[in-house]
Amino acid sequence: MNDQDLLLHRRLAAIAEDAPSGASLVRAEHAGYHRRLRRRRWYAAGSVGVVVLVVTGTTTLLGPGLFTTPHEASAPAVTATLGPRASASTTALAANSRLVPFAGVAVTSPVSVPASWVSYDHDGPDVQSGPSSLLVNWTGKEPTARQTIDVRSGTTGTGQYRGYLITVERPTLDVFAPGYDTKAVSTPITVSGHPAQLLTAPKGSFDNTYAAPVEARIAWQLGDGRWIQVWTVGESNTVLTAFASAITDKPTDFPANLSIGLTLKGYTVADSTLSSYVSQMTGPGLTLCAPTKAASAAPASSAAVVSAGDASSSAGSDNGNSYGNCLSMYANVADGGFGAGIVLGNESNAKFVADSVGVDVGGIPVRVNAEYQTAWTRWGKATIVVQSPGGVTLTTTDLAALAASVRLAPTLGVKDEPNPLVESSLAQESAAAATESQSTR
Amino acid sequence: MTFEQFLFSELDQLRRYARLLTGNRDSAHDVLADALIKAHLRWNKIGRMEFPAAYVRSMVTNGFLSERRSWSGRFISSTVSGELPEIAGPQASRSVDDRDQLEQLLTELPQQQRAAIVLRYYFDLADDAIAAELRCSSGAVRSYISRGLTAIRQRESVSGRAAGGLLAPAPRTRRAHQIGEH
Repeated sequence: MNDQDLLLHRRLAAIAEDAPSGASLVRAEHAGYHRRLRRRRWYAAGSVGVVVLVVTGTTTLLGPGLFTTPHEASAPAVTATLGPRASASTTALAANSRLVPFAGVAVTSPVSVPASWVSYDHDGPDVQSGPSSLLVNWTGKEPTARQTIDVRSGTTGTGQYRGYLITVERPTLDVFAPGYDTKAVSTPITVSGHPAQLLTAPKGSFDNTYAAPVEARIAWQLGDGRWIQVWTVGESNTVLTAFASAITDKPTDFPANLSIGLTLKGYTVADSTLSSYVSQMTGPGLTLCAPTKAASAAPASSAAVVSAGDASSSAGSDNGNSYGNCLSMYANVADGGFGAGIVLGNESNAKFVADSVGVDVGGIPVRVNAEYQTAWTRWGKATIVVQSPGGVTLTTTDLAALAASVRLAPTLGVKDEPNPLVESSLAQESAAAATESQSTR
Repeated sequence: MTFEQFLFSELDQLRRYARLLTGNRDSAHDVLADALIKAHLRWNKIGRMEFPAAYVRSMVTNGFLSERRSWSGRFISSTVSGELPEIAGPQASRSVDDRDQLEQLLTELPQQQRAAIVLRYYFDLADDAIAAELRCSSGAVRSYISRGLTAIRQRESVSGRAAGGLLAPAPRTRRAHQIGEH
């Protein structure tokens, strides 16, 4: 740079000093990420590399008849299950509490996929549901070799996934190819005697709304008026067509592995992720939003996708405010998704923990950071994290009660891989707890 | 590289970049958070790129350029009381004056000119790297920078600032460290 350039650089640098704080950004990113992650968890699994899908030499024949594409089966990476733990949903609420009882969530898909097509996924499907959508995906294996990717055009490795997305809206042709926006090409076809569309797009393309893989999809309208689109990433269109043909109209129930005994008054389910295991960055989750937003955004016909235990509260919003304006809870291993946000923001993890208080809720220890409106508690190796909606300030008591009321299925698997961030978070939390314990003696 | 490692090393630069690009702390927060969410969701791909920072920065840039219309309302802020906030007194530093002055001038530029100037003079990127980020030709980049600097120079001159010939653009060729290695 010459002197003139340096002068301008310094002036720009002075402006840049007024940048938003790292802590607020990470918190916003975390809230938004987890919300969207619940719609498409397989991408996160690939992103952080914590899902260790050991590819064995075993091959599995998938699909019937001619479509016996050999897949490398992924051995179960689940190392343990969470086991039981008491919850505190019956804890008496304070007189000024803003919480009310909540009965839980059940998810039913209007279609079924034959087990022979998805038996390669020993962990079971990732299920992401909202009032107007249901996404089910079976993960095959991790993307393979590292590739140098051009900044603009982007070439990618591919994982292998089979799954489907059901939406109220017709499947979009607008997709995001690596580095640019484009449109999928639609070709009319017939699947099992009904009209359908084969939608194709450049390699590595995503649906921007659901981040579903959209390199090749087959879409058709279900009997109830909703639309289904199916994919078999990394496989031929012949296999894709066979997979689509194998899907039947028989309903499938998916068990909820995370539920909550309490919610904010008026808040209803907007989004839930059903996961068969927890890992350091993935796991089951639930988002509840205020009814005003939910009612305006959720088509009435979508209510069947997510039926809350409180039957009148099945409406919700996929389109709630972008960041943090819904009650959010999720379970992960150890760092629980809050550690990274704390560590990476301006606030240190130690300060975050130091600024929190310990609350006993019916025998369940909960920590609450009121400033960040976050509460967390442990369930075996999992950490349950609850974050209040943006713009809503809950009391420490309510935050603690919310966290303690979260219930995890004892059969939930655990994929526990050491992670420096997690270890750091745990170590600092332990140190802070020890300090607090000493100071109270 | 995990997403956490990426944030450790790049978040500071990205938030500064977003601030310069949008001209507004709140908008910077929104556009960067949105880009980070999208990047995180696609990290299995982006994390294997040779220069993930450059890619995410381009997501910020594209988000800014493509959604700028929807942000217009956010630039119009109001106070709860309806009263104007306090105005900085004479104790305000010269650096703050400079910041405000240049900030105002940058805000008045077309978005692509503004982005080109920030990428050139804050990140020291070459023409072709900026062209890739803005999805335009190197010639267009030079034009953006030239026009942008000319506009700044003229407006600073009009307002009595001592800018003069300080902001003369010069074509920049690619250097090895320029993409993603800030």
